Amino acid sequence: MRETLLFSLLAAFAASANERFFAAEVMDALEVKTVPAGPRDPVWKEAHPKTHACAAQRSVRLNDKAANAELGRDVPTTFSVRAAATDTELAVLVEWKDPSKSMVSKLETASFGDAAAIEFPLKFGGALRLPHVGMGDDALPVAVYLERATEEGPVTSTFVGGGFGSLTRARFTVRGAMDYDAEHETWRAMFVRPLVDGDSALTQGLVPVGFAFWEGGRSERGGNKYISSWKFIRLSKYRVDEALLARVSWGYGLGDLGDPIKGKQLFEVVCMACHWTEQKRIAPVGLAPDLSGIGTYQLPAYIKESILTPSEVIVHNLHLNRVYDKSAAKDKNGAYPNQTLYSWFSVGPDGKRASKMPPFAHFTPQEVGEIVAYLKTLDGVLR
Amino acid sequence: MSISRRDALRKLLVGAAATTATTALGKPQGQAPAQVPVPVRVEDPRAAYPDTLTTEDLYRAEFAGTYGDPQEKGFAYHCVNCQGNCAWEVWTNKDGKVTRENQSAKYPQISPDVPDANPRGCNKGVQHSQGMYEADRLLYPMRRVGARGEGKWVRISWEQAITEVAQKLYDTMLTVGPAGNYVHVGAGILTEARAASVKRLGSLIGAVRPYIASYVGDMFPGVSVVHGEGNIGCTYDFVYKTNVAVFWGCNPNTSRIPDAHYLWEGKYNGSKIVVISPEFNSTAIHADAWVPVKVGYDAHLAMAVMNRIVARKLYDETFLKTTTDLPFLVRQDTGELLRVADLDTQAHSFDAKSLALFGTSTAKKEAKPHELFVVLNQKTKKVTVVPGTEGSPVETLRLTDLEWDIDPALTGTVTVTLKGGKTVKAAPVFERFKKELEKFTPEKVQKLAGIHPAQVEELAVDLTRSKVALITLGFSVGKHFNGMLAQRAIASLSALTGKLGPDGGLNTENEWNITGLEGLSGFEGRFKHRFASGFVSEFELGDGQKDFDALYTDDEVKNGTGFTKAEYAAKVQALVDGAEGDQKFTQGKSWWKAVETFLVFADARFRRNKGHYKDAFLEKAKFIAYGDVRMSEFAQHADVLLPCRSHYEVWDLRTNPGYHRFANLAYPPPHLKPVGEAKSEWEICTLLVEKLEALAKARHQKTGDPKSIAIPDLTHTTGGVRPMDQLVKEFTKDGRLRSDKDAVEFALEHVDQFKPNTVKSMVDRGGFLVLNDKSGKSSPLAANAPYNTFESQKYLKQRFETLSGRLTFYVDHPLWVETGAAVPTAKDPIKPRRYPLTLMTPHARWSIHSTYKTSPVLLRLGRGKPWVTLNPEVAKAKGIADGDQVRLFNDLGEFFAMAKLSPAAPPDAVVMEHGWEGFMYRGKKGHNRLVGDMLNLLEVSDGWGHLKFGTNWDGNQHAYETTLDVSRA
Amino acid sequence: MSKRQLAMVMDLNKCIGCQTCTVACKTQWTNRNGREYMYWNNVETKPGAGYPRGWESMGGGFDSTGRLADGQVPSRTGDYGVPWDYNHDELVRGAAFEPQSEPRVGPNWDEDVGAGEFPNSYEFYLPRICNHCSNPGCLAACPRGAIFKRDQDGIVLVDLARCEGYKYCIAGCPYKKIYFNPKLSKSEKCIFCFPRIEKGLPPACAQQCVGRIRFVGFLDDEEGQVYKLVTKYKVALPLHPDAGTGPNVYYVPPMSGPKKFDKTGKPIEGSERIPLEYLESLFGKDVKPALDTLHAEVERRKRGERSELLDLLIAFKQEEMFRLPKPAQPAPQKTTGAFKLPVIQG
Repeated sequence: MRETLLFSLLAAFAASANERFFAAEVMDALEVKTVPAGPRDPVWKEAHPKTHACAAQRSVRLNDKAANAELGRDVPTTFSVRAAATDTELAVLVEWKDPSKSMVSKLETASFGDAAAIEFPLKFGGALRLPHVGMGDDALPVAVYLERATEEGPVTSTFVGGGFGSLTRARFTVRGAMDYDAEHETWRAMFVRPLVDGDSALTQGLVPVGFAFWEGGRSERGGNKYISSWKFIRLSKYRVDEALLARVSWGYGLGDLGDPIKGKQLFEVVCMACHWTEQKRIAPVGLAPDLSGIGTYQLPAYIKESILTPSEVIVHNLHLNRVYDKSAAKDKNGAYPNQTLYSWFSVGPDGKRASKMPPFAHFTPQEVGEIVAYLKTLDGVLR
Repeated sequence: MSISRRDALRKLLVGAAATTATTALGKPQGQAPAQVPVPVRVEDPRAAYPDTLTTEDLYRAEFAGTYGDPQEKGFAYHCVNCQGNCAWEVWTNKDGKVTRENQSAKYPQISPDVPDANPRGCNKGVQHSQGMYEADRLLYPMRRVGARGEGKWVRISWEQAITEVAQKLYDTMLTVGPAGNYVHVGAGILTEARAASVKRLGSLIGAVRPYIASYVGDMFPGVSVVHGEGNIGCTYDFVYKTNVAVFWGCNPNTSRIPDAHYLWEGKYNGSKIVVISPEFNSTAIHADAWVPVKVGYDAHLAMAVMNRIVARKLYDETFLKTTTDLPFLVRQDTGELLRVADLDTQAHSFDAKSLALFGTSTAKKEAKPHELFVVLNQKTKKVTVVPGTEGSPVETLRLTDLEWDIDPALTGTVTVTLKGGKTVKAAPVFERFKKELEKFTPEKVQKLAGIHPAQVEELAVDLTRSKVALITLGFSVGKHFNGMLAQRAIASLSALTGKLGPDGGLNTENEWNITGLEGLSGFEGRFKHRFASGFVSEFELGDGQKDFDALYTDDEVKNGTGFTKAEYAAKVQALVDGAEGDQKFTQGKSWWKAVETFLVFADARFRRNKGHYKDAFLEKAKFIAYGDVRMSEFAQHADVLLPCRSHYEVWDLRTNPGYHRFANLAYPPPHLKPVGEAKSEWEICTLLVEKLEALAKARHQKTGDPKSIAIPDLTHTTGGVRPMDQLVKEFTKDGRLRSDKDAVEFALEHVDQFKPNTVKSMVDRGGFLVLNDKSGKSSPLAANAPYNTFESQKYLKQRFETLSGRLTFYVDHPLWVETGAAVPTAKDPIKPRRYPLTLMTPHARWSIHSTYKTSPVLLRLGRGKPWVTLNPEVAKAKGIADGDQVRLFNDLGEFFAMAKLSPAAPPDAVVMEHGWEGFMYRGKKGHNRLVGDMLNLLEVSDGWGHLKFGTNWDGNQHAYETTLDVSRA
Repeated sequence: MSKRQLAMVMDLNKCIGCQTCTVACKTQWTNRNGREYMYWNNVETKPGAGYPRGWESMGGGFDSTGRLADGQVPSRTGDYGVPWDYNHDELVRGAAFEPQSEPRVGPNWDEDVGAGEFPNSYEFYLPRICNHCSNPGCLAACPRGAIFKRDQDGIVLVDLARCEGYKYCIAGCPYKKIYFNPKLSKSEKCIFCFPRIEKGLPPACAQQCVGRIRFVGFLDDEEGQVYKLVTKYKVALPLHPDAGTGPNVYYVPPMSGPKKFDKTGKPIEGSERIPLEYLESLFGKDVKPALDTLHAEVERRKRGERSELLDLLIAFKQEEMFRLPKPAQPAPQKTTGAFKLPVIQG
């Protein structure tokens, strides 16, 4: 798994930025008359599988002892994706290894189900940046399709997301299926959606798609999950949006990134005061996003942009009540006010939200490249 | 869009079936919405929330669904044998189904300085509605087709059921006579209106009916000995007014739940709460003092306390002289009380004037010399007749008045001249009493009862030196073989403290004086039922002798009675035989061997059966018709089952006993949907009577045999026959009394103590009425103060209903003199010492005896099946862990239960809440199989003064006289 | 933060452990729809593992710095107990009456056990509902912000529209008084019977409490018993205040009970059957002064003096134990109501 990741990175260095980008992040959708009937439909054999990495979501930390106990034991994890498209529909098949089948139990309160989800931006293309991969952001929401294993069969649900804590049920048109292959200890989840529906149109050459996985056996649900960076499905019928390609393929060209060792040194001097990595934790928990897995689930372009223009995307921490201010006086009902220190943005007089992280525009492109290079090595795995 | 989703959840919350939305390919999840949905983010849910209404409306709707429409509610009390008797509101939904109930909680506060009685009603009452629709509910009449208990039934019509039962009753009357029928309503219905139906039927046809308090073993015969009646005491709010409140062998926190608050409010009010019980029970945990008496040694403890009271002269001498028989003279030679009938009334030493004053017959009352007793008047130094005794027309306890001035001696001896000139030495009862007390020094008693002399001393002082001191006596004390003596010793202790009325005294179970109901259950004596002793009938029905032989040994019986097993059993049997059947029905403890046809209601008697009772009973019972609401173990063994209505489906009235001053109404919700084909007891009995008359008339027509419509009954009718062709007219009072509703209206019309009230006034008030001042027996029921008995004796110097007219310490019944029980005393248990643990089965928190024992709601709040509480040390020694299945055994058998370890359990007993029916145990072997018993000779003895068979003088079942051992199963 | 806070005081000296409250709550709310195993109101014998078993060591609440602490989600089979059913229907066929599953743990499993050794053991009853905290751990823990406090009375509710059944709230509650409904696949909890409150009725557990131990009223109602017991006399204390959630259910701690016995069976003068350390582990350091106040007032009462505090606790009229807002529907608030309901979710 780790090997395949290295391989794709090495391969990337050999070719041009676009080729390297395509090689690493883009999968071709198989053209079909009708979408496959299910995860085991032989048609899928014809679709070329693409293997990707995912890592434990670490930006925010939740409060389940059992789930958090697993955080220290993250392992490099991959999954493979196939895509197939007709003129009207797109089908995505996700496969991942899982020796232990976990399902939501009717009887047991402390049980959780294995699950997978995919997300699509509601709007993309042109000069538009991609939504935050963590279920979108305030400006750019995403559509999320979830498939979860329960004792009463798999359940499909759909949401619209605008970042952590904002997931809201919405009725997107989707057909889902989920299927455990005991022989290969593998889950297969399949999602079928119209290329165009009332909410979004995927009729482009490069369709951004994100992935998330939950291992019920590790009490994973909600924010306790593994996620991937934005990946892309190539629909050969449509032309590739060059502007989008140019924006997201940054970091795959020779010279885009620098020496990760230098980047690490710089990071530890400048960023460590607020950010965590798996290796080093100096700042109080939750002061800023934990970057432990960022290399796996953010594109280089996003990392670069968030260093230079952090307020472009406001990433949200969990809501304010998780920490209260004990130095403040209680109100007449004995309530402490919230500690706002852990909110990652401030609201200006104009009501506009600004990230509490200052722009690091003074960094030279090389310094930025070095930091991004370093951060891209962070996959959340403790070594 | 959102609306339909909200409705889906509402449906679920409000109770409709859940739908499971699993999906498969081809089944689309929703359609394309009109506009792109927007993610909702809540930055600070504590401060501002976007949508509270969606959730709130769901719960509001659900609440509306359960709470129902105020106009739709009914009223009820749960007429079961807890005697608590609480008014409830009962709510139905639009389908006429009861959804829930809550206490009416409208009882008026009687005085600003006394906490009110709201909300009366406990954990069992609050879930009654859940059981109404449970799957063990009897819905249709059924006839047994397989073997008894096999569970093979056919559903039959009411017509068939009534015909079958009536035929059996009628045939039995013809072949065996009225004494062959046993018609009885059990402890499941203790009520003025409803239970009267079955009693009325029994009286009409002369059937046998056992005395219920005795046959369930809830009597206070030992209290009757001292006070003349067993059911005495206070309304529970009186406890709030005490300075010291002793709870002896009872546990109000568990078994008097609606009244228990008065203890703790009383404690806040400065009262000292003392609990005397072998186990650290749920009342003791909050008490000021706990006296952990060894199980079965209550009498010894009481004697030790009296020893201290007398030794330290903590008693009120004047009280003893005027209000007890302690000054009465007793012959030293025979131990008999000196009666005027025995005395030479001409003798110089005899005060002839006192005889003239108190021993002369009047128009109102004839003087009875053998019930006139004497004291030594220290003023005149003469043997002097006292007023107020059974034989004296002068009914006062006053010893000083215009015409007389008596100061009875409590000590010393005197020589008296008997008829014919013989002289004998005599001494006051007090002398003999003191001598007996000397055997029970705190130091000696500590070895048996395990109570430190310091606690004995503390009790002696608390009970005599506090202004208001109350001893509340529980039922468990009487459940020991010598428990009657323990009750008597405790009653004597209370008497010795001199507390009556507002000062406290003894509290067993106050009974109101409710008059005018005789017409409901009886026929002004024209037709009587055959009133049988409860404990004797049960002992004979269950062949208790056999279990006695198997469990008890000579040594232990000798130690506890002074006789060998054989001697003792023989003495008992002689008395029992002497009282069997109609010939001697007025002597002793009546019972009828002839019973073979049983019509029984609301009596899950197999939960109570001891040893091999069940087998013996089923062998004797030729036919069993049983009416109840659920399939109890007894119901499983019936021949015909009659489905009855539960407490929310009937009209009824309930007053006694007097834990409070309210009579509660059962009034079905107007739109209640009937449950199955259940009928009320009144309907069933009316149908039976109609059928009986029809059968009799038919037979008469066919055979011409006059006996068909005039069944001879010389002993229990005034006319000498049972007029079978007049039954309907008689039973229904010419049609006025056919239903439970009729009975309620009759009661409201005829009971003085209910006046002025109607069904409407009771409904408007909240399902109850407040008893008027006529309701007190020996005290007036004051409108604004808690009630306690014997104010009339305390202030008006009225006599007690005893032979001596006083609190009685001396019984010179030959058997009592012979067995050394003439004065209060204590005798050892007879339980086998070869087993280490005494089986204690106190009243339950989670059921009323067996009622509600099958409620999942309640069972889930316990261990789910029968469990026994073991002391952890005992368990450790036997390798038993909490939750283990254990086997409990003795010579009578074994049963299995879950072990629960608690340091609250004493090391020498197994404590288990009672009420479990046999069929709830592994192999249907219930705990009572291990329980043996023997009729207590003194309880069987009869015919002395006020100790004559009746509701005040019958015996107890002794469920606490069994020991056993335990091992891991 | 809510404008006002409704609170409850429970007097443990009057609690008799009858669980009428538990059953009243069950028939009112939790005998249906996936709530069967829940006891929004339960009564447990203390010391004891309680319900859910071992809840006091399952984390949640806030640490000393005011930060939400990690917690556990109790197991239904191991900690709550799966409500066992019975074969009532088979009795007609002559069957024995038995549970359909082996009872292993339940909401009142350790009833009347307590601690210590006979005859010196000790125990008392502790009724528990949701504390409707001022800083609720459940509310803080919900990553979706799907738990709110009602403005008018501070009652804490789960937004059933928004809840996704993640159970972080369960981990976050130090009292384990919020439950997962497997049928709705959402969290549910004691709602302080707000639909009853809105009709002028006290919560079922309080109105039907036959021990008369529960007072209900607003914290800032200076005429009310709640204010007087909590603020004026300081004899009503929150449970586990160290959990930092600012609970709004308060307890009058149990006075010690009967004296202990020495080896010879003699009562030991001045002995405390319930160790103070144990009470402090439940109610904090304020227990001692609270108990001293109670004992002093009872002594005064024994001397025949008046005591406002004891008059309050005695509660002469049950209906006066509840001081609720005038019955009135709250002004309808806006609703987005956007959610769907697949009833099984994880």
